[in-house]
Amino acid sequence: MDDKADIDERLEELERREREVEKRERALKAHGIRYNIYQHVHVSPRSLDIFIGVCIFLVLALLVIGVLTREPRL
Amino acid sequence: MKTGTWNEWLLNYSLYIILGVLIVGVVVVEPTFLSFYNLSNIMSQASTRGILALGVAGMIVYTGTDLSAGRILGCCAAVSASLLQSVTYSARMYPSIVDPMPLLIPLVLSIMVAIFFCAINAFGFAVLKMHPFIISLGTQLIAYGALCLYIDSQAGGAQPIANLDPRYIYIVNGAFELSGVRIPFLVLYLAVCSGIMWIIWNKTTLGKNMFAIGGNPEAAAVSGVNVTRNIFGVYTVAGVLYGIAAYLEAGRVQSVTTSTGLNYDLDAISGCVIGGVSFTGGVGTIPGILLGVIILQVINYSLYYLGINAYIQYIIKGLIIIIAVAIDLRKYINKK
Repeated sequence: MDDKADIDERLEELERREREVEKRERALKAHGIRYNIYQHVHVSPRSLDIFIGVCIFLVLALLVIGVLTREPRL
Repeated sequence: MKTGTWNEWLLNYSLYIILGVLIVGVVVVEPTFLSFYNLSNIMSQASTRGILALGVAGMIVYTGTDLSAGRILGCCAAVSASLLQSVTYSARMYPSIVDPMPLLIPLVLSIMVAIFFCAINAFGFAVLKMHPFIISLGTQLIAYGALCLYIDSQAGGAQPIANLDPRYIYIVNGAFELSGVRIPFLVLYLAVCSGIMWIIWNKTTLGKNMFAIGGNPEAAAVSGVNVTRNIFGVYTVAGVLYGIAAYLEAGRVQSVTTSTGLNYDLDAISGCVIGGVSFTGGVGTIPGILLGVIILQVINYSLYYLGINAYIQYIIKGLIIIIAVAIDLRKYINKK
């Protein structure tokens, strides 16, 4: 009889813990405010390196063009 | 140094290296760029944007952002300037103000207006679970509309709010001497705000919770952090900073129009990203933000100083923001 009571008690404890976990999961969903803007970006590091390189080249090229075509300062 | 460590180092500092090379290039083309007058100008201009960036940074740490910061600044600057117009100026906005107003009252009002707009953003983000881009885009338009209405409501119609109280101009544009070096008050204000923000970020529960939520909101919520209250707290701090920045900016430019604050939010966001505040959340430091804002301001000023076409300047600034975000993404991919 003692064994059965013990098992029942453990079962009850397990159910109680399960309810707690479900409650926490609901709370997590309610607090789901994370917007990681990169999580849907699928690009290889190499492609990204090339992109960054091209951007740097463009900045340098524009600077050179800007300096060559600038108005003389007063 | 191992290849992996070298790559990581390069990734962390590449933006500083690129921008450093750009600045060296500018000095080579125009050696007069390194004059004390120019450095003082750069620091004064960086001050208000720096204070604004300190506010925006908290939102980026939450994986959010604030596109309305510039327009909120414009709106609050109009409030400050209108209340602190010279009482001898006949076309002032409030002719009923005949005695000079205490300088603190417009500052408090400016902060309150900024907190109001930030509370709208916080409500949309924390309670309605709206994307910060969307809610702040809406607030940006609301703030701009309010600014236009306010400026248009003057007796003489829409005209710049100018002719400010000399006391106001002095406390903003004045300077003090330290060992023979003239230091603008604006730099002092930025230093004080940065110090306070460093304490808030690193020594208070609000700051620690902010990083916890930005890094892993689920874990923070399970640990018992009140996410909603924390978000409101950070947005309120941002509102206070916007209000201060607006008050100082109005005094600095001495004329507030509907275009005051235009693109300041982008400057603040790009300053944060250059300074190492990651869009992935939970990452950022106050010294980094200051460095980012100052570097960006040096670039802005140097492009102007070189006499480069204004349209080309816009393209270069845009590219620098794209490079900063691409490097941030590259760091994220490396960590994954």
